Amino acid sequence: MEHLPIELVCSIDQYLDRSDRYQCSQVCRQWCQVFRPLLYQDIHMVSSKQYEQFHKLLNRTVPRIRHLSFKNLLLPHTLSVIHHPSTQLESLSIVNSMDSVFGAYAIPLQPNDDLASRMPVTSLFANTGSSLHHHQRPALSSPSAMTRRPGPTILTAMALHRHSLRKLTLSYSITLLDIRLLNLVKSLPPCLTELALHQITAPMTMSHLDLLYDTCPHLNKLSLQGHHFSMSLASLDSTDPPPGVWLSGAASSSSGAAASATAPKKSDRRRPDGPVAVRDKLLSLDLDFGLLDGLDALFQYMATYRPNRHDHLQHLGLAVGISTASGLEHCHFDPLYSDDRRPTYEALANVCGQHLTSLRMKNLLLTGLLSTPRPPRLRDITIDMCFDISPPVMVQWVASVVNTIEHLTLVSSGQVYDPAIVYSQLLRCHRLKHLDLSLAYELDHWLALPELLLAREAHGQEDPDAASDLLTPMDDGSPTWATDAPVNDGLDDPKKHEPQPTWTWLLDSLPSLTSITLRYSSSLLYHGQLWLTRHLRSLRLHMVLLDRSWMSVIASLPHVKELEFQHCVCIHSSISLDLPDHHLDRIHIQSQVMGRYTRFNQGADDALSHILLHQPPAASRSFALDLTVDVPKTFEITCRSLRLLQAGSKRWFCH
Amino acid sequence: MSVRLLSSDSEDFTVAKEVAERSMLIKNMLEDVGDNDNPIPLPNVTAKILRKVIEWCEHHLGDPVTNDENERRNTEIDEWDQKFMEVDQETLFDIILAANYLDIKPLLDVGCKTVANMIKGKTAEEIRKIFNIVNDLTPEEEAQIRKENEWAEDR
Repeated sequence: MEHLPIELVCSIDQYLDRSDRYQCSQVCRQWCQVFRPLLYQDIHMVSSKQYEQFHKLLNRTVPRIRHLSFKNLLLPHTLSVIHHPSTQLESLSIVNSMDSVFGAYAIPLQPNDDLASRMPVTSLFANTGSSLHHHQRPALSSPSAMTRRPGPTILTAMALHRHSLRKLTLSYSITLLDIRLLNLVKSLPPCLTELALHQITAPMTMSHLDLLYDTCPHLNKLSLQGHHFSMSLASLDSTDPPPGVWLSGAASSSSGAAASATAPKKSDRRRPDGPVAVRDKLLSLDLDFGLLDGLDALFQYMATYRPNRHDHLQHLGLAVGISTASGLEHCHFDPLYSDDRRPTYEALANVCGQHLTSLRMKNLLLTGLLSTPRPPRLRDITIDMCFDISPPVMVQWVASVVNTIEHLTLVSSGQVYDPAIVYSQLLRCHRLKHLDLSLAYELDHWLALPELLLAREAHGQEDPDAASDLLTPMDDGSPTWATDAPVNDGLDDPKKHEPQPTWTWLLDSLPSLTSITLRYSSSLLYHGQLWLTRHLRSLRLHMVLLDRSWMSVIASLPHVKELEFQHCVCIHSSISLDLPDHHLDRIHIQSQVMGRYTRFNQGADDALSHILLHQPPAASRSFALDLTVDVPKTFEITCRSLRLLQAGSKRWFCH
Repeated sequence: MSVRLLSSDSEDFTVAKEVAERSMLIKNMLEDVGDNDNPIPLPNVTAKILRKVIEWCEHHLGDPVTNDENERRNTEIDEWDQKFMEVDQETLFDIILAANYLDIKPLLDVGCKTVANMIKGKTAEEIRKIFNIVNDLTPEEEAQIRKENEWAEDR
């Protein structure tokens, strides 16, 4: 038989994940040459243990590292890898650094801040034997000599990878003083095309944003998250430098560091920017802040100061009052009656309405949006807890872009008593592929939810002996909700269950719908046959009460490939999901099942390629651990791992 | 408007111009040569494979062209293509190589995805079996590869 040609092997790597590449690297020598460098190209570390293991490798010659991503790692460790000679980073992501103390010094007040050198990073750095640091490094004779040298910081990392870095994500909570924020913004590599700065604790102003646009002229994608973004244009128009500029300006001019080179010349910002090449235009902008002051000013800025930068914008995301744990405590504003959040959106529609395909709004007032012309190409809409719009009204607005809409997320700010109205509007969205719906929002409502009542009636008392039940097959003929709701096999015999007209359309009218996410236990009665959209491939349930009816609904979906349960509660002592004819690619369970357990009977042995299980949220929310369980392909092991999850054990080590 | 293609084993194919132009190679050739009745020689493609390739191009004639790298990578192989790719390995590889030579990106994608799906989730030993590859790594080299990967296994 003819061998797989090696050039073909090279071109399939893009479809394989890391573990597949690792297996491929062990196939033979030729494959090893192809795949081994790929194992280094993309390094993703989530624990100090991983760092220690990886660090040993760094003492030897390793292939070039292009993409680095760190999560929950100590910043000194992170920095020592970033400064290693084999790294020529194209992308870098630092999420949730574990040490806020060092974090503060990682962006020094001055580019060569001596404080940084006192941090333990220097000794770690010395271990790598690296001398790529842009300062000349003497032979490492005594540790005391080391401590006088400036250690690696985020800024030196920026300088080191200045010409290669394209994508950057910094997301760790540090007390980012205004001056540090300015220093950081000024030191950003100029070739960046994607930038995410999250957990910005310093108050952000338009001058920061303006500076950022100057420093990174090629940005396509920008995401900023933080506590407070004051969007007044006054800071741009005034001749006074923005707060902190004089200080950092003095610092950088005296040191002559790399950072000062990018400091843009402040000119009269009233003039719009010059022509911008299409490839340098901003395509995606996300702003998530605890407090956004004056969105109108932002739209005005986009339209009059930098129209050429924004006129191809495809995605815009605006969110107020976000999830950064400590974000809101500094905010003093009334969410409902702040005029600042009642923007008119007209400037926005004028500058980028033509290209906008994706819009995400959270906690904003949308009345103004409803009166502006719809962007003609809008495909992706997320409306999350926007106070002044009821879902039916919103859906009506959506219905005006009905011919283009493909992704719709609708999170209601209150309980909707008649979801059928919403559904009847959704009917018209014939291109809809992904639907994410949440029509009730309070968990307190759980106890009043129909499916719970239903389950109580149907099944009576729960089995007290959960553990023994785990080992015996279920035989109680689970789908018992037929008495008061359309049942899962309604497809075959519509008369039998007489689904209400409102949702029968969903059966056939939306063949495009392949993915549904339901949040907060909206009534199963209402959703009824929503699931039976025959092409459904992905079903995600968030904060939903799982009962046997649900399991039978899921089992009746012939094409479902992906199941996700987040923060779900099982209301029986045991639930079994029998999927004999299904070929699931992924089951993902996060923070599941308070005090109960779920069981999955996996019919097809090798259909389940992996299970992801997430720990219940720890006391500290700042770094939730991701746990991946490697393919326990047999049913017994699947069961065991789920049982372990049930035990609520925080330390579990199941493979 | 039709175009004549000549396979490496000298079989003459006449296909509609739109079908032939799914191949960027042929499209560029046609643009360079202009209207001309001579067959285009394809010395790297046998008649058997060319027939398959033309079948694919005819079926996918009206497909929209996507330039989005991610979209291209993540869309699944549709049913027709799955059936189409149910051939022996040698033919499969030849189709992919032909798609590469003729520069038919979507066909190349489908082929590579098919091969990738054969690899996904398999161990090195299983991969060797599937593709009939002899392991020429020494035990030391294997140990070295495993050692280098320890950090990724361990959390």
